Amino acid sequence: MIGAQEFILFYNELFNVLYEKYGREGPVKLWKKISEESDYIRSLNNLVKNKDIEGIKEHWSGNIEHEGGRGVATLYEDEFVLDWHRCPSVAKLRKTHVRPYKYYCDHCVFLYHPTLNKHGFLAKRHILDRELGECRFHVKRKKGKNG
Amino acid sequence: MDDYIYSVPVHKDFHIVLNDIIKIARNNFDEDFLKNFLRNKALTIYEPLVKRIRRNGLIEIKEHFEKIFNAEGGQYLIDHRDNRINIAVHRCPALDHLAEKNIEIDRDFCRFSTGIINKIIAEECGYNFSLEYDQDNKSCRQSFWK
Repeated sequence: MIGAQEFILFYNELFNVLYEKYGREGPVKLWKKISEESDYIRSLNNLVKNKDIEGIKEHWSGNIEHEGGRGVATLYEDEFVLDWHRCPSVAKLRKTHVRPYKYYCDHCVFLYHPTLNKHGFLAKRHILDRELGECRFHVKRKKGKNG
Repeated sequence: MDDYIYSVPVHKDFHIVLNDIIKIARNNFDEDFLKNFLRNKALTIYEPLVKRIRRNGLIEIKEHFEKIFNAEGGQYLIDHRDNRINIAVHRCPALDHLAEKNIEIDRDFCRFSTGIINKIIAEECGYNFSLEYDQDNKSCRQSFWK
């Protein structure tokens, strides 16, 4: 069994291999497929469909709780903001012997944003420091959807 | 070093993503792509563990297994004697999590995530490896021996 903690290394190496073989589009293709076809994203989709912006908070609060790292999730009536002060995935990779994929942080945009956009939210990711794993993930209700 | 892989908390949803990737790779890339990727990269990823096994023997496999399964709540029995380890997994935490989330387990999940990986590690360290698995019952038997 590949342990849950070990998975990030495989994930990262998969991105590196796809990049070496296909260039930047290699990992992007994988991420788009995960976004379109995966059970993991399907469960996010169901959460947002059933619980709206509360579902978004629930999903990422789960990440903070189960993955660790340092992050602050803030929910407003029409906005969700997640400030990763230290992304748990990036933090793990930085502690290992493997070479972090240089565009690792980009996978979150391709994985999650399409699903959120589909439900009437505008998702933006501000990558502050790829080395430290600092970013701001900002989700806002699009104008014209419930106000 | 690789102490982080034994750390908690553990995000078991990564097993869902791995299950997804096995399916997606089969459907969207070359049929053998993921199999070859795992074969080629297992030694890179498990480099610290391989070094410890070479230095200290099967006890390192036993301890690695115990730490991973204890962190994730698996149920197992390990029989370690001389140059052989037999591991009986009664309840795999990865398959358990997938089932709990009503996720269809990919037919290659155990073959890829345990079969290919452990065989490569074993062979690199001079051991044989065998695996019999039952995904429906979330159980398997693994052996490492000289």
